[in-house]
Amino acid sequence: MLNLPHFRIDYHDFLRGSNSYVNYPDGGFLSTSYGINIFNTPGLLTTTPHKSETVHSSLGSSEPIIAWGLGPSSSGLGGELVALGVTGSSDGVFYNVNSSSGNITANGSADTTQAYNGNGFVDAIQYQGSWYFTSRVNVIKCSIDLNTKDLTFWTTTKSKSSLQQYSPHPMVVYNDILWIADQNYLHSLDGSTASTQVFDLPSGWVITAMCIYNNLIYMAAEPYWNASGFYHGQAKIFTWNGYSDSWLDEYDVDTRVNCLYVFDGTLFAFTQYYLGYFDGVRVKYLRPVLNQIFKSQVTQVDNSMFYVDGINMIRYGSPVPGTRKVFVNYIPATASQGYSAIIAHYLKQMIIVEKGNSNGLPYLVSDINAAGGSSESYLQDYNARFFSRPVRVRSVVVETESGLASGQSVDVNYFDHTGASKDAAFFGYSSNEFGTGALQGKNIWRFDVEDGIVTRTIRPSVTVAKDTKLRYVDFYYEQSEDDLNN
Amino acid sequence: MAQDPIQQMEEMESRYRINVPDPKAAESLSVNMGVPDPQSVDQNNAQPGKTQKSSPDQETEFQEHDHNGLNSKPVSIRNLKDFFEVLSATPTHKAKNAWDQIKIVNNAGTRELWVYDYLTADWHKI
Repeated sequence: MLNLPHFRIDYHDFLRGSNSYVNYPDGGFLSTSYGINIFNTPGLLTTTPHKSETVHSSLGSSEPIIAWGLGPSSSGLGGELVALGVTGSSDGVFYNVNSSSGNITANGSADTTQAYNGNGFVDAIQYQGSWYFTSRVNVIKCSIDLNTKDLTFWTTTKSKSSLQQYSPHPMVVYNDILWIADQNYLHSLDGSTASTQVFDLPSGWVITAMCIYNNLIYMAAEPYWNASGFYHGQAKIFTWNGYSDSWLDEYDVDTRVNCLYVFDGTLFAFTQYYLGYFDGVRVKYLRPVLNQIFKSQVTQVDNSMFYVDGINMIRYGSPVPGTRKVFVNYIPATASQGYSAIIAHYLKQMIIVEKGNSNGLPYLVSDINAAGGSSESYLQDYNARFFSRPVRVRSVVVETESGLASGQSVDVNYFDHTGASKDAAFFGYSSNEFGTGALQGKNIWRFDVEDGIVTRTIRPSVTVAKDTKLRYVDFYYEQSEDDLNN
Repeated sequence: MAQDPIQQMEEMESRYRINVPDPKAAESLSVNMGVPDPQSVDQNNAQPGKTQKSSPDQETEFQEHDHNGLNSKPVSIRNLKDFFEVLSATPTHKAKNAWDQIKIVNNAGTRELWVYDYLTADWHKI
């Protein structure tokens, strides 16, 4: 049997990451497959790390976390992490976040005096030893530990007009000044001096995202309110140095930019339909996105950028330093409602907040590269192989890194040209038999078949469970003169 | 940042499109590529005492030899003896090769010809 021709699923497929689309093989895995961990042991495939539930206190169910901020701690040691959540009544809740334990604890009562709803409308940032949050209409100032809150800092303490409630209010700190976006304006807080409309775009424009890049303020804006991003055309990216009378440059972008994010020296833009990067002239699209993605849903750890898109968490990085970065569908959400926010700033940990039925579900991943535990099992589809003549699958050979331990397993399927699945029974073994007691301790096994229809398409599908490390799967086939049968 | 699309497509072509040799191509070609000729009898299930040798001459494709494996000489496929097995009951096994696929059944004195259909994985009386 092993003198037959074969093709192999191995690191050539693993290290290509995930397809952008199901039928376009720019990666090694179909875009509908998740749990792909090629970072734990480069060259081998295993499952993504386990999520451990953390402690949370009254995490809002509507939009559990819609903003989070990182800054120096009051002691000067390590970082301070805070988050802002929203209840079903649009009330704001302020949270202390313990980055090492992942515990998210509400600090004080919810603010019921003003609205905070709408991801992308509010923000959180640390400036000169205090935390600043934006609601839909105000700027809130809090002490470093959140214990003291001035909920109407902008309108009462600084006697300024309310912010425009239908416009996003992202914030940046640049040249030791806090800048607050409000429709087509930037307001500023320089130490204790608050000033309004220090910078302005043309009337009617709305700033949707901001970041600091190449020592300039980059602002994404569009000429109308378009929170859901349904309208396209005429969005722009503006740059400003913080003191000139007007903006320095402007660049055209077709669709609304929901988030600007700098990673690995590159400015990424999350637009309504795509993730792209700014090349100095335009935003070049890299990959499609299915949902609006905001600042709280993007983070980075271990030289990878992570963002969440619905129930999918995508990792953009290179398993082997110096090689090309690839997109990988990483840890899928447990809840069907998908992700709310992801936070990473301590070692290789990540705090994940999902939207749940009654409460937001926060999890802690202790090591973003770790292999999964006993509950992790992912079926992953690979790009189909197409044959110039009908063939019949005769055998599969599976090899793992080491002899299988208890709970580890590999299942091999394939789909033929009719879409029918040839699963474990087809190969003459029970599901997960590769991991049962009879095969414990073994790292290579062969399953032969004697029948089956001929096909010109073999689409491999492999399930890896727990922390099994798959080296390859070989599919042996022989040509046949039989006709294809649909 | 993004891979060149042309380079991407070239990589896809080489990995996902697999050329399968024409089984009706010249025998020497399939021998050189190490690809078994599907028209040849499966060597592992050939009748005892008979071996197969690839030869340009289809008439002398098989060899027979005596009990000690000596005195091999070519034999035509037409002269193969005892090729169709005679059974006393209807076959129920899964046929693995051409020899296994055709059986003669002696059903209470009536001879029946049975063939195995690979597509439906069952036996049929002709």
